[in-house]
Amino acid sequence: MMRIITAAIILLLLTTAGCSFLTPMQKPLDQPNRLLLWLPGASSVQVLSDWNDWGGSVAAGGIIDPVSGRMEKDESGLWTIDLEGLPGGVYRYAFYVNGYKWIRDPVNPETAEFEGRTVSIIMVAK
Amino acid sequence: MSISLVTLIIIISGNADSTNVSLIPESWDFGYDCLFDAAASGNWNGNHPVIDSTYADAAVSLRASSPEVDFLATGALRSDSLSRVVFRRGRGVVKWPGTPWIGAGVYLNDQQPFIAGLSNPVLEWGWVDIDSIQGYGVSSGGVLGFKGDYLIQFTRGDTLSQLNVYSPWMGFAGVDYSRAQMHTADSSGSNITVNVLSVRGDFRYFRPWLIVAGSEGGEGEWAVSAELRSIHPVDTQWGKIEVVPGMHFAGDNIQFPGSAFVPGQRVITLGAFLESRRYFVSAGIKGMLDLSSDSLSGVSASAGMISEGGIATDMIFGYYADGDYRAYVSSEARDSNASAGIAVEIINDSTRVTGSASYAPRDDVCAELSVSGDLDDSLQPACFLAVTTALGPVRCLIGIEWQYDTSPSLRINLTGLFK
Repeated sequence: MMRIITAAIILLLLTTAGCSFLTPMQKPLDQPNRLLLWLPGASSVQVLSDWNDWGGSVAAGGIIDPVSGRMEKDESGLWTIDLEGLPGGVYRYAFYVNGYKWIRDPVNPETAEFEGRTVSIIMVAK
Repeated sequence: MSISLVTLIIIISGNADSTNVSLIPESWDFGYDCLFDAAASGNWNGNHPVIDSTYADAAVSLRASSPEVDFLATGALRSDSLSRVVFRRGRGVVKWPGTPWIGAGVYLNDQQPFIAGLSNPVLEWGWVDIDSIQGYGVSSGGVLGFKGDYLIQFTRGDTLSQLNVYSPWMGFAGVDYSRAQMHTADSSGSNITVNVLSVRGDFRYFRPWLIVAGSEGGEGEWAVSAELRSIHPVDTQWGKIEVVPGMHFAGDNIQFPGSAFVPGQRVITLGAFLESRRYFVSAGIKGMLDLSSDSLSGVSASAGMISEGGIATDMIFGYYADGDYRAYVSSEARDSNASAGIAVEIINDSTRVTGSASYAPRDDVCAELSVSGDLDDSLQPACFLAVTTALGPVRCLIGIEWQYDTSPSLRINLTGLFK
């Protein structure tokens, strides 16, 4: 019975996302050195990553700095951050929403783990 | 909540900038910032909440810089419900600016080892208990663009040293080398040595990434990870598909504290990832074949899309040869100031459903509600209501959490940065 309910919910999710809303939203520009997250209702979004000591939580202060990796929101609700100048390497990252919620990048299919969380991974060539 | 620590934060935040002190040469620049995190939590008792736990953290950083030297000192303090102020972490770093530069630092409870790998770090956070660390570090660089640092740390009688050398980008390749050594002081006297060479290249049509790791060169103490990136069989204005072949081999006697390598593993991987340049849509699938046993064989997939109608969908699936499987599907309708969604997470025989909704009356205020429960007889429902604000560098959260076998708990959190 539970399997049927589970399958029904997943089917509902897929059809909800797929039927009348199948057309994907357009990105503003091709911005290869930027991270984007469309989340219009959020009060704050940060990028926590290996490159910024996960917002400072694994550095001297041990506190997530509310300014570290802070993304800027435009009128459409799109949060952006520029990664220009990041040294080459492999980095894990996640979005930190409203000061308590970790989410992976929904439009980055490559994932990794950080402290038991599923996060995203990005490779910077230079 | 500790009065003393809060007073300290207020004094620091209220002081004017000290750059005009006449005894200080004009070429010097001074600054400070104070990062604070205060929280209170409690339970619901009858009709009113009772606060039973508080703490206040502050990380105070002082900076002084001149054309000749940069100095940064950070001290992290915590005050508990008994108003005791405890020094938790700290670091002082002095650096000669410009190129070439040289730096040195003293660290307390800071700078744990981290060496990046491909999908998983070779060494990562959590290996050493942070509360037990004190150490020193030197760094240098500038010669032909190379940089390096050396850290030596002492943790409960053990000694950990880490040497890192980073090359500049040499037109077609970059090379990093790391060596970490742990000498234990207990009777076992066991030592762990990790050498890691990371090479990333760019040959226009593909980008090889190679991680070679080993211990002291003994039999079976080696590991290799490699991936070929940027192979794009389909590359259009709409988007591109990247095919990523890879391999992860390790000797039978390799010792790594992280999850990057498993002794004796012989795993080859093949991934394909779709990324759109013009639209918020992506998908990926990755297969792993374990040549030595079936334990690491499996397939994983993920996909995400944001539709024009404002529906954000996120899916992750994983199935492994040992029978483990995992699936996560979420769909959320978002508007400019409200959202509602549902998520299903399946881990083997356990299925949990979460419904969520949020409302943002202003750009800097958001209220969120989530309700979750297992799809089995136990149900184990849970509920979380949070109101968050973000006013410049100050953030506040007020949350109420309830789980099926506990009374509701209250959480208030205030985080901010004063400069």
